[in-house]
Amino acid sequence: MKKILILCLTFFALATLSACGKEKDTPETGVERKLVVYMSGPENMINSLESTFESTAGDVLDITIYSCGQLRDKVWIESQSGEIEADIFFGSDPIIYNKLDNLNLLEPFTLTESNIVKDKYIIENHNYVIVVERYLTIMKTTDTNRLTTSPTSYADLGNSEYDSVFAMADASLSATAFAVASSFYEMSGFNMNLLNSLNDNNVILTKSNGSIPSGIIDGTFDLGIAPYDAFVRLSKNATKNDYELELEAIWPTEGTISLIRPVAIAKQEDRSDALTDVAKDFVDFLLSKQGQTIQFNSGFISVRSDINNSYLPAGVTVINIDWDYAAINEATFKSNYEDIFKN
Amino acid sequence: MASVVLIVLYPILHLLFQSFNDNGILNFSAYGDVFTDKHTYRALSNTIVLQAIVLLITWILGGTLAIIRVKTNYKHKKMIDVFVFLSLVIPPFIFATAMKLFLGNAGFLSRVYYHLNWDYHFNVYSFSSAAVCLSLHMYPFVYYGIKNRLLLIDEDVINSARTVGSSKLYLIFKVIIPMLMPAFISTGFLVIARTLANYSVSAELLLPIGTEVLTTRIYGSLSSLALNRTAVLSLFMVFLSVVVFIVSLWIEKRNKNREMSVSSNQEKPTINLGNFNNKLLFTILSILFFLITILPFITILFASFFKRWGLKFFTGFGEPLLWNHLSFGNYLILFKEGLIWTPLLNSFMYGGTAAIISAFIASVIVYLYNYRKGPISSLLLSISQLPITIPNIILAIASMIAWRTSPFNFYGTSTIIIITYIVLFTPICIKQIQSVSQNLDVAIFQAAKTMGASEWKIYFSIYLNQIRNGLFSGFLIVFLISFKEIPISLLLYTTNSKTLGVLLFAIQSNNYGLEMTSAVAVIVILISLIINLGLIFIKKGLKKYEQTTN
Amino acid sequence: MNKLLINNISVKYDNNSGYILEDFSLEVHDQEFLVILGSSGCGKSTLLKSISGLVSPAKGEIIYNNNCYFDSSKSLNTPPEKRNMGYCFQNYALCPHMNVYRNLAFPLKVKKYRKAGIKSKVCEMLNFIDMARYKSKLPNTLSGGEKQRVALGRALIYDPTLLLLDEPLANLDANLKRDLSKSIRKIHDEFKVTTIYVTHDQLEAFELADRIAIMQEGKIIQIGTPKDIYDSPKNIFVAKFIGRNNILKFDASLYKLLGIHSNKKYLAVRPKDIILSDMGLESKITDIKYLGNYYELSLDYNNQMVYIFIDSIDDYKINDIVYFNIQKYVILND
Repeated sequence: MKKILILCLTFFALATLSACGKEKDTPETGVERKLVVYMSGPENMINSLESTFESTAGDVLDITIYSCGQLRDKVWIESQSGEIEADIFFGSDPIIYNKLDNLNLLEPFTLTESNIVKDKYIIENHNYVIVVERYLTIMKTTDTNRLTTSPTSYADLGNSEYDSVFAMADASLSATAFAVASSFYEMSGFNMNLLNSLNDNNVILTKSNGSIPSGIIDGTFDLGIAPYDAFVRLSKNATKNDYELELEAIWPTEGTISLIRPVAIAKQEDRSDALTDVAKDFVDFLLSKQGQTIQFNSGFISVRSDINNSYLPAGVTVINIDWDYAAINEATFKSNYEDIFKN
Repeated sequence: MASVVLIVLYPILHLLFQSFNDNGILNFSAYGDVFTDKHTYRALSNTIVLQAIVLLITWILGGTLAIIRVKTNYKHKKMIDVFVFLSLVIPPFIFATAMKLFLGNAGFLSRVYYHLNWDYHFNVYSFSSAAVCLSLHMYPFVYYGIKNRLLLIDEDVINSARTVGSSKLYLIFKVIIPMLMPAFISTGFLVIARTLANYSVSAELLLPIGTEVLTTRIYGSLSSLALNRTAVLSLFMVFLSVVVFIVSLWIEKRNKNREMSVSSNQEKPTINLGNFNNKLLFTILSILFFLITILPFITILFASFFKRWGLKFFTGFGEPLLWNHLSFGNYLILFKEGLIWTPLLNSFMYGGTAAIISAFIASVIVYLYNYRKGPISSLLLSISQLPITIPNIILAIASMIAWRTSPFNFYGTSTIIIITYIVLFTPICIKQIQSVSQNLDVAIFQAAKTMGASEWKIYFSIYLNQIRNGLFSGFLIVFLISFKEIPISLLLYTTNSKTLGVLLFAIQSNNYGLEMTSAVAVIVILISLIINLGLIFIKKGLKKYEQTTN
Repeated sequence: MNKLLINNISVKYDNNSGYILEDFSLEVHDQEFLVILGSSGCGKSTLLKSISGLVSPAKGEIIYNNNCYFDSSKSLNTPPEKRNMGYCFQNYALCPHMNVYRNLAFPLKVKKYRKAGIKSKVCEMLNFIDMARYKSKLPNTLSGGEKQRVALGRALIYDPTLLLLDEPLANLDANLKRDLSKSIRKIHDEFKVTTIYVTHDQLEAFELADRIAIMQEGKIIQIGTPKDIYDSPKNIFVAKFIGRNNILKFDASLYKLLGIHSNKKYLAVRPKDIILSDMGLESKITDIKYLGNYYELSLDYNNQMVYIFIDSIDDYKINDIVYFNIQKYVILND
């Protein structure tokens, strides 16, 4: 018994030490440590971005993938209980970036290729950069046994035929969902009517937007609101794995809600300038033609003028969210939202 | 031992500090916000209703099975033990997934109904489904508690009740069940505490319909970037758990005189079922166990072979299965592309390391408490047991806040997960060791002392040997917890420290659907089973070895 | 007539083991106090359980008060709850979750007595067993003797016509035993209830019994009044079991001394019936023990150990050669 116990102890101690040791590995490129990067987004795209960047810069990135909501919670908790642990964070919504920048926690930064970025994506007064844009569409199953009609607008989602089969992300858990809900609020003339009708229609709330397209394919629900890039990726995956994708994206008549994915470098006292430069290089890479192409292939809309955004059909209006307005009214809006949806 | 106090109290103090921290200003505003918010009370009342339903189901199911197992002459008793064990191995989140796969909108049943042209609508997002998932995982606690108590009941008490003329029903309801009351109450408190602490099932089955319980409310307030409100809610929940814990201790103490003093292992059936009832019971239990263990497993196993969950099974009624929709692809992705190796290894190492350290710490604490009696050792015991009352998600939040400022910056390393696991595991190990060490003969230690053995010598060569069964079962229980633990690792993982729980909970996204969750679930269940069986095997081997050497 | 008749019952617990009782028969008279005396494992508790119905024999019949409770040939088996027998268990078997009052009231509630009736009967019993001041205490807070009194009270409270007592005093210390055994006999005499009392303690048996049945390996070896059994043990087992006895193997000198010739091999002689004298059988003193009122001498007679009691040892010391005579003896079967 004793021998076995000692054996186990030694084994676990060794194994853990070696694992912990690995984490603190220093890269061979001359900087003191790897860059800690928090990212949200599809895994394949992130892997591809990492390997492409590291093929020239060396093994300098230590990327952890989170969901948009997780990323934002983590960065915020970190900022409130000390320094932000990540050197770079990419994804989630502008509200958290604005908040952090107002607390003076973001590293000032100028893009090398700022001239190639379309004007509407340039942030003047904040220390973060918009990397890509994504469009929200209604997605539905193409299985006519499950759903016989198609909604054409957001307002249609309140129709009784979509009772209990329609899903959207929970605004109290997901940043994107918060953006969607607040633009619904703005869209219906600054009232909760649309949201109320969705709740009356027994909307199913999910943790994130990401789970909506797969939920529709899974059959968990029949339609929902989700970013178009997910549709692009799922279509590619279906082709690759040889199955028929029973999913259709509908561009709503009110217009598509535009979401933006920012990136920022966090201020850190003990980070060397050399390392900060590597961080800036990575941000530059995210906006480079190579980096943007990788993201475009994953379904995102490039901010560069030299990449053609073929995803948006002609004639579809793009609704831009007033993030400043959303941020100021966040608390009141959330409280109203909870009164409707949380029972 | 100061480190034990540190790893337990330090995070809680940080949490307390955060609750007053309103963007750098210290005030009580968060307390006001939380306790004037009607959603707090809604979440609380939802939690209580959920607890009540789960308690009822687990009591009835676990209690009935235990009585059948010990007190009747039911012929297939092994079957009950095996299936209860299987229920314990399947984590509640996997039950929830299986439920969605089987009963959900696109589940097996709905597809079968569809082919038969019948209408099908079953809403898996409901209180009752969440309660069922939690109950199916927790009824084994009640079963084991009641079973052990039943084995302690003096057969002659029941005999005496029979000779004075009580019928079988009177016997069960007026004698057997009242005698089991202490066990019902203590297992009941365990069920209540575990239901309070559960996050994954509520997130999976209640959040979609906007129903909040306390844990999901805490997670939600975290998402609203309101750290002080999160801290207040967490402290409120800790307070509730502590109240539940203290009440359970008080009742346990009060019931001490109602407990059995006989400890002979009496497994004589009192209730003769007769041939017909025996067969009837076998049929009922077979159906029950099929529904609650085999069916969920088959469901997720089948789903794990789908290229994509949601693809059709059949093209039409009476048509053969669409074989080309099935493949080993999900497992290939997990194993070949290496998705599962790191989480698997991490869970194994974090769980193993934390389990060993916890078992050691627990053994020292119990030793000090028993043989170095004094205010310090009692305090140490109380402090180290405190986390048993703290839900995992709160341990995680507290750790996240506490372990990232110097001098204790473990943030972003695997150490933070291991430390949090140690805090979580130590009280469980203490409980296991205490139950064994209560029967130890103090005279052995006194004898060793008179022979001149040093404290360490006594601890290592006598004490550890005497409590080895408790150490072993403590280790086993906590090690297995680490394979299905979700909230702690979900909040604390980084790239290299993903665990199986994180993979299970978070793999479902754009790329992967329920089929991948199912594949991971199958692996988690199989690993838990293998480890369990392996450990049981080792335990048997050790027993044999001891018998031959003695 | 509350007579109990047990005819040829055989009992075994499971199919793999042998019979615990085999072709066992016994007759217990009305209002008799019968003590079953035997060492542990001889089947005496099984006998009580068979009588009460807690154990079903494989064959035989049990008739009580002219009612047949068990008859294997007619597949008749009255369940224990319908036999109306009082049963008192060795480890008291009180319900731990009920206080003294409720433990006593339990049988009456089961038998659906009226509430007022229950109250007066329980109070009466509480006084009788002298436990009135403990009525709201839980069994686990009582001493062994107190628990036993409650257990007895519970077995008696519903006026059973047959009382079965399974080693009720086994777990008590000597003084308590004496007190309680007196109370038990008093209960028997007062309630006039036919009683079967199982014990391994011969002192208890002699103190209480109208008749004693000696049991060994599932069989009754001898049954009779205490005096019968003491004076005329039937075989070596009974002779050894009841009181101090010297079991001697016959040899030529013994035949000569006693003036008999028997085809039996053994005789039993009580130590008090052996006296030292100038003549008689020659033996050597091997040990002398002081036992309070008297001395015990161990004698070696032809390699057989013989114990005798004497008042003074002034004339004797170890290794002395002495002669003894036998005043009274019993010839044993085996």
